[in-house]
Amino acid sequence: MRYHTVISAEVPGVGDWQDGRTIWQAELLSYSLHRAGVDGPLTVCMAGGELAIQGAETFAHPNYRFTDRADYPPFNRPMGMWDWWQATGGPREDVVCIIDPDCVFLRHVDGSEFLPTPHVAVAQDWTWQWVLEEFASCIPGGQAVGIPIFIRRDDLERLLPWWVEHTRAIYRHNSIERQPWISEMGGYIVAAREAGVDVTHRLVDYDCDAILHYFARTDNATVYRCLQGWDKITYRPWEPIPSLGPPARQELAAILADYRAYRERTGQPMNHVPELVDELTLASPWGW
Amino acid sequence: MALCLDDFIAAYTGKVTGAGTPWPCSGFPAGQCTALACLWCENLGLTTPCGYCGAPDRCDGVCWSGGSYPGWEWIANDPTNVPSPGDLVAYHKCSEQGIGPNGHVDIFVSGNVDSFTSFAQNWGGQYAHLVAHNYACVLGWHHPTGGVPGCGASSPPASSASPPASSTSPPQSSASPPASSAPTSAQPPPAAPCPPGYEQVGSFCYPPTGGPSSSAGGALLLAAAGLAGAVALRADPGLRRQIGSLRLTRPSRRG
Repeated sequence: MRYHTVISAEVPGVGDWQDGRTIWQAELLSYSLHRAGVDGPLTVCMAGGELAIQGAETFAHPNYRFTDRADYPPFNRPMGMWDWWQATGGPREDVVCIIDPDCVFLRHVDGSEFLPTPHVAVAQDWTWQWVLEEFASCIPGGQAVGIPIFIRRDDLERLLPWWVEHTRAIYRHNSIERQPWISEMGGYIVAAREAGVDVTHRLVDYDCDAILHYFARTDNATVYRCLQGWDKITYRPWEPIPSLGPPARQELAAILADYRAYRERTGQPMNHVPELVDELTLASPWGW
Repeated sequence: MALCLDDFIAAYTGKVTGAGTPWPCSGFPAGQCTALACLWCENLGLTTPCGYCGAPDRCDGVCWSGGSYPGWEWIANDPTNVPSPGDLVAYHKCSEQGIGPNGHVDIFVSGNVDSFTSFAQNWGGQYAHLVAHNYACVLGWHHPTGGVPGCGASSPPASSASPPASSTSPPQSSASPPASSAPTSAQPPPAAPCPPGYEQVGSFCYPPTGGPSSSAGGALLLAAAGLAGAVALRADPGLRRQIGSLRLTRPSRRG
């Protein structure tokens, strides 16, 4: 069953921490999606300008990280998606898969596997992130969920403008004071419970099996273990990843090796700018 | 029939207006502040009080200033006066607030002599939404001498509580919420007026950053009360709880 995958990425070089990491991640994700034979397109909502990602439809929108006089890159996800929706009318597919650039499809994922129903999306269980869990627990019906999210198109259409508004409100009011960088996740959780939206979630665990979110080495012990210590913070693209350890890491190494081979075979240089993804990667406060 | 201000806000919140969008207005570019201000003028049946800069092809926000426009009274900003809801506020170039040489214009919603809320486009995002301001960069405002249509008693308060309509919906012409956001039996409590000083966003109340937390008469509060962590209160006082420092070191469940 088809579904439309969408991510948010940011062109490099405009401001602090815009070092291009989401670009190489988006490239790898796009390749993994096609390698896995996923039935459906990938849209990259690109903050800050035009920058093509092979195998994806790129939608350029203004960089919203400085909205409300802040410097908060995750504003770009709901606001860029909302721009995309308004400009294009949204996806044609009935189901949308929302993920981050630092995800890869480890295997073929059919839409029927994580099929959302009206008012019931399918989302990653984020209760391990205790600040998010506590935040969600204080909202009637709130659930500590996050990407990957499979959601019906009409549900997302209702939810998306509220995702924008509540992300801004949470950040503006510092409502998640302990970890303000998850305000955007909180915005989604509140938006799902907004009057007239009414989306709940079936909780699943995609990690290390279907869709790997290799987000941070210390945040999630499960992901850390299944990657056996490899993490994006210290990774310098496109160095090979040693193929060892758990199956998820071996598959990630295989995806990267196949991608390098594909680019060489087709005479395409790798798109990233290595010098941009060096020391700044190690220093990022956002961990992505 | 002209929309009252609350309905106008409900109809356009979250939308990009201007040339090339479903909501064009006199050729003003999409996503610019002037396009939304133009729609408000059009809604009131008035011409745009614009052109102070002397060139018809240059109607930037800063040019929405000065007097002698039919149906409008120009009121210069001074330390004691406050616009009325529906007035068009003009801003000059103001680097400390990021306003460029083209200035800015938006629609006054509520406020006092120190600060106010306006309905704006191209301020922290090229779409229509509510924005908090002070008067540091304000030149003055245009007051519609014929007044602004009042909303009925059943209308929602002038805030972002009105759900944005879906992108395919036309601007709403009544006080009814968009069909796509009609509440169902499974919804959280309906939005209630927030306590003074709180910002209502949809069904939820957000207190001022660092301000006190208190009951919201049925609406959820998300509070940052200057404590160690965020504070959230349910509508039912018996369910109040604090996310505080006691749990700051709790390890991950998967750890």
